Amino acid sequence: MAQTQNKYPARATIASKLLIVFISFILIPMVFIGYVEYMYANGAIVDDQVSKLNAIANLKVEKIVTYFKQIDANMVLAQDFLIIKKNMPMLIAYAHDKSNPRYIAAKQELDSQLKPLQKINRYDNFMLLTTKGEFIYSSNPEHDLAYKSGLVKKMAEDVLTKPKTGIYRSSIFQYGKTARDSEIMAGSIVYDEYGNQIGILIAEVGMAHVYEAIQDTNGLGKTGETFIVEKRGNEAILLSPLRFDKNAAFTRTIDFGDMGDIASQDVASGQYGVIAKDYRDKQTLTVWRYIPFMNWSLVVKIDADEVFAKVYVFEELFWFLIAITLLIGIAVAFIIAKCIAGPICKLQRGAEIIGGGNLDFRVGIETRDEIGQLACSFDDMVANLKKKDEDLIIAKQKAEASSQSKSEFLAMMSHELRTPLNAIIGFSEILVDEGVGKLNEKQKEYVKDVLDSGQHLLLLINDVLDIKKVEAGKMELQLVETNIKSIVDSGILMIKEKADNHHIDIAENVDENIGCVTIDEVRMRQIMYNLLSNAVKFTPDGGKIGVEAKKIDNHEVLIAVWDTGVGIEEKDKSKIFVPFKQIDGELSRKYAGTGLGLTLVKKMVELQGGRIWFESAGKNQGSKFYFTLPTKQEVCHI
Amino acid sequence: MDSKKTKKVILVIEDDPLNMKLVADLLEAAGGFEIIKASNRKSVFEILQQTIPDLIILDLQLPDIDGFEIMKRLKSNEITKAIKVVAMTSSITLEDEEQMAEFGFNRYIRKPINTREFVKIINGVL
Repeated sequence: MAQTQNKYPARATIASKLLIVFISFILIPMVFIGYVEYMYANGAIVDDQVSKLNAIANLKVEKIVTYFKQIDANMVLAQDFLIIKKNMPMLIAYAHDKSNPRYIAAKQELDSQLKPLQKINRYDNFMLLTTKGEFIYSSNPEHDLAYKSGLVKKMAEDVLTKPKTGIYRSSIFQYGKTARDSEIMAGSIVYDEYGNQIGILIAEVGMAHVYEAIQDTNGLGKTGETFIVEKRGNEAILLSPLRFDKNAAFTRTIDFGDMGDIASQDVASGQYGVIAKDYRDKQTLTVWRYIPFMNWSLVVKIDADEVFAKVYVFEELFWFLIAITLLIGIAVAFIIAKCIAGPICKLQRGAEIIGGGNLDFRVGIETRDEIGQLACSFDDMVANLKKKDEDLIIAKQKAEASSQSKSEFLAMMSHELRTPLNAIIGFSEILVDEGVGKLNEKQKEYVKDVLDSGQHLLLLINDVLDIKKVEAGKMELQLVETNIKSIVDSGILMIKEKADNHHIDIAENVDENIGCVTIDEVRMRQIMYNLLSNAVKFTPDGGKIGVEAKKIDNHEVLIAVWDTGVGIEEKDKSKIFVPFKQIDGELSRKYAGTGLGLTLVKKMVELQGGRIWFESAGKNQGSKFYFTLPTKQEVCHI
Repeated sequence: MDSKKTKKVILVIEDDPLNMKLVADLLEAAGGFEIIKASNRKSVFEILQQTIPDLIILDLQLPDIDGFEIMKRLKSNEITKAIKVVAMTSSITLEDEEQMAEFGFNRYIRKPINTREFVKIINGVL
């Protein structure tokens, strides 16, 4: 959309409005649905993973318990072996003479039974001890480590505290450098057929097999792992190596406080997973199992990142979809906006062109939608407007022609009326002056009447023509800066003779600092003459007239012409400025005038930007005519 | 014929016969003028071919020619250029004396003429 310099700048374009609508109606629900979907998927994935972890935990617990129960079962079985009951005292008896055939025979008999048992069960060793904890026999002499490490004495004591058929299991202990070099001991008391304690049987069970089961990460992805801990005080010590820390067993502890309440409260029945930070400070999804049989806890966990990888993929897809939708939305909004706003812009530009005066311009939008219809109506309107405009121009031309002919008529009138008047006045003047011979009184009186009538007619014609000129707007003012005092003086001069003839006093009162007005001097004289001659005309002999002039403010001067004459009755006041109306009846006959003087005065005062009014207290109370003229504030040069 | 030589020759150009009569009578009554009358453009220029008047009284509104047009022709001709011209008009247009002087008029009389002053004015121009 080409942006032209717009006279009426738009605050929000249609495109942006559409975009907002689009976003609110499509994107917001989409985000909402996406969010719900995301939360749901999240929950589902967590649930799924938790049950998976639980299944693994259950399986492993089962394996461990089964394994150790098997050990117990084997111990119970071995405890009652006759070969042990028979041969153990022989070994004790000949302990100081190991080359004795009886000793050797007894050992061979024991070997024949305990070695296969040890090998089948993949135990490290079977040991026989005296009740005092002295070493007697080992089925795997290369591995009688427990004895060598000195832990056995304590073990013997512990075993002896057990009831007749009880199996005592030691803690796991490490004898080598790695976690794999650790084992657990199971011990039971051996009795003779009379129920006397002969000695103690101990099985050394390597933890490697247990760890294999525990560390099997099958089904645990890339980050999942299983380990066992034993609760010691407020801490849980690791009993097995970690996937990411092979040396963790016995060296690393887990603070239960950090693991949260769930861990410490009820790790046994924890069927649910919890998201917590692990030893690597990573978020993990974790489940626990307490194994009462061993007093261990099994922990199965997997990194949250791995669990939520699918969610992350979903999340990425979601943002991708939002971005795509947004882009499509913007594109669609712009296309729609262009479809709508384009023709509107065209219409608007058209309106501006037409507004500029080019009524021949047509918007010409061809589409059949509402905008197209609007454009059609608009074009029709402009066509109508053009027709009206043309009609108006014709009417104006007619009016101008009429006005022209009117002023031509005025000029003609003036000429045609004055031409015969010139002869009438001229010849009657000659006769009155008796320039061509004496006249008798009657003749002279009549000729004088002709002359007076001629002169009256002339005044009448002049006034009528002047009024018509003002009305036709043909009165051209020649505005000149003029001193008011000189205007007043020349006005008085014009009627002084007539006033003197009637013994009328003329008072003049003009403010000294009244200054100048910008007026048409000829018209101003006409105004002053009319008002002053009226004053004289309507004032009885021996009366008084006067002129006052003063400044009202910086914008106006006030001029007043007053007399002590016949005054104006209330009923006549409304007719004063009406043509041929200011006097009637006897006054009209007595004070002959054209009846147009004041009408003309009013028109000329108003033409020059002034106002006119009068005051009269009533019949024979005199009258006072006021008028104002606008001033110029500049210094007056006379 | 001596007296005729001292007489001032005045050409009166006026289309209205009564007004012509008035002006002519006034001048004749005053005496000392030779009056030549013309009422249309044709006669004006015919007369001017033969006679050069001392003064022309020119009515500005003639039916077949504008007074200003006559004035223009008078002033564009070397011979007639010096003739004094008094304009007479019944127009209501208020041409002032200055404006009329620009056209070359010596005086400007508005109709109706003042019979008492008319001859004085003419003599004043002469």
